[in-house]
Amino acid sequence: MQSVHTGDYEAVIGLEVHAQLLTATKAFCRCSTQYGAAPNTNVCPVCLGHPGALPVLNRQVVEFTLRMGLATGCTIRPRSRFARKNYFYPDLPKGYQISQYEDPICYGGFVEIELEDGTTKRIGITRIHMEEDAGKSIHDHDVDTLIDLNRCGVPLIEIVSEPDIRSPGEAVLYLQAIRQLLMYLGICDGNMEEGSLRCDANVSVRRRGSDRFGTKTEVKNLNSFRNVERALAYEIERQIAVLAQGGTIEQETRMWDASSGSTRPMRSKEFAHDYRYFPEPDLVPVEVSAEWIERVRAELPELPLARKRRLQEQYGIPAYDAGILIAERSLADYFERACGALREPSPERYKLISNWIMTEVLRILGERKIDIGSFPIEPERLAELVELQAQRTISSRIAKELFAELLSSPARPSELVAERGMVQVSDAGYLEQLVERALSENPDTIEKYRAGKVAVLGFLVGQVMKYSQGKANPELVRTLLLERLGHSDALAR
Amino acid sequence: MITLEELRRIAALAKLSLSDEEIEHFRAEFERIVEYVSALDRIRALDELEPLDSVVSHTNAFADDVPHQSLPTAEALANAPRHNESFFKVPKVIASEWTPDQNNGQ
Repeated sequence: MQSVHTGDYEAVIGLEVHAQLLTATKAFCRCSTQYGAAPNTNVCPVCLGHPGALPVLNRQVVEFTLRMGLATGCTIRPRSRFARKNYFYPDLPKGYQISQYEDPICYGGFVEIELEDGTTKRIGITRIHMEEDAGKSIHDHDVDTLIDLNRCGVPLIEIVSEPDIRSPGEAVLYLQAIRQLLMYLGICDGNMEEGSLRCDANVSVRRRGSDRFGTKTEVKNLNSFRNVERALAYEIERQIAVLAQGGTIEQETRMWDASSGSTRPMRSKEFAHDYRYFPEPDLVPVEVSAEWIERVRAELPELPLARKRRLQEQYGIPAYDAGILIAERSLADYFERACGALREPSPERYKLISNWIMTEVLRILGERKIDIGSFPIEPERLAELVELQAQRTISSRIAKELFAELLSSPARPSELVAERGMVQVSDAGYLEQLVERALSENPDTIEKYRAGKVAVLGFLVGQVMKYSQGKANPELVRTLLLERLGHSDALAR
Repeated sequence: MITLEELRRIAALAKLSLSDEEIEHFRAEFERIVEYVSALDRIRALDELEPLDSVVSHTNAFADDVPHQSLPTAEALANAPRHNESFFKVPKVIASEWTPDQNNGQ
């Protein structure tokens, strides 16, 4: 990750992340939250802001927020309440957003990120509060602006970090950690393209070594990891350039424009921060008992970083593998189920399972745009494939063919191997014949090899594999070839 | 003391355009309201009182997360000054000219 400490300056960054909660209904009415429904079909007097309609809080919103609060080590406020954040915009029919202001339900936590050098860093969480989403404005389809209020009232949590982030790279790691946590907790689908996860950043720069903060700008519209990194890098450089020329940073809100690769100030900014919050009189306070907190805490799943460390320890796989496997909870579940299904478990076999998942399985998931839940090879069958491979019953080339067959067949790997005669050939007499054939068809290779071109060995092994239709035991072929070429194994390696 | 400047700002936040007479009229009204409420300042140790966040004493009025029937679209749109068969219509808003915190210009 490139350093942003341009010269004498360092960046100070805090992120505000909005996450859409995976509830079935909206925060304050029982309209469905289904994404992609026909416009203005999931609306009712409450979310349309009709006079006299009263909101009632969805219990699940509190439950989900508590999960995130506890997973990030926040303190849970025993009594919290909602506030109205007032502003006028056509996608907010009430003229205010129901949010939390002075008494957010969660505060004072942290998230751990793993830096590239393997060390971890804590990013403080200032607060997590509950609020509702606004509707959607569509500007380009008509001379007028069109408004769809399906999203209006969909529950969000806003997660505000401390200004602990020091580079665009760290910001991305933090956002990835937040997204992973939300998905592990089953409270947000993490889909940045559909807007389920959105991010704004507060950015300032200061002279290195200073403990005072510089004037910050708020950068909006950072709706992908890539944009977070690009926008922050741009904004940090812009601020440093202004300061280096003796200028001052103006406190303002800036929009990131991905197409021009720059940030620009938003107009009408003089009103942007006067939301005239006041307590929401239509909702009663939320009280969270110690029993409620303890129940949610007890039900928390193993969190990503803890799981990563456990996978490394328990299965002896490298940190890199563990990092990929825990990216999604279901993928790590798949890995562990496969490992659990091994009849003769060993670190070698765990590593083979990990290799299959990181290469072939993820490739298929990507190609078919499916998730591991719909992957056609169950973990038990992958485990069996790995055992056949580890016992040298099948060569790795056959294993690949078998894998491809398993994608479209419900059969067990051992059945297919028996049925198709895929068993690896380790019959030395038979293989010697193939070795002779390879040498006689490529007479120049012996000399080349003896002249020091050891690479021809691989070519010859390949030829024998071809003659055997992939069934030859490649290690045995290699040994036989080395014997025939008159070299000891150790010398050739 | 409410100044004319403050009143203009409040009017602008409420997207109201007021004439000079109206501004003076509301300024005087605002001032009376603030004066009325300032009776609270005479309470001793006001800071030590817990703010009253709700006039009813109960808490935790929750609904279960179970969808109910929403309004038919035609009915939802019926009271809007302008709409087509599926959308509310408002005068063109320039995208991102002023996009509030949680909306992110979508």
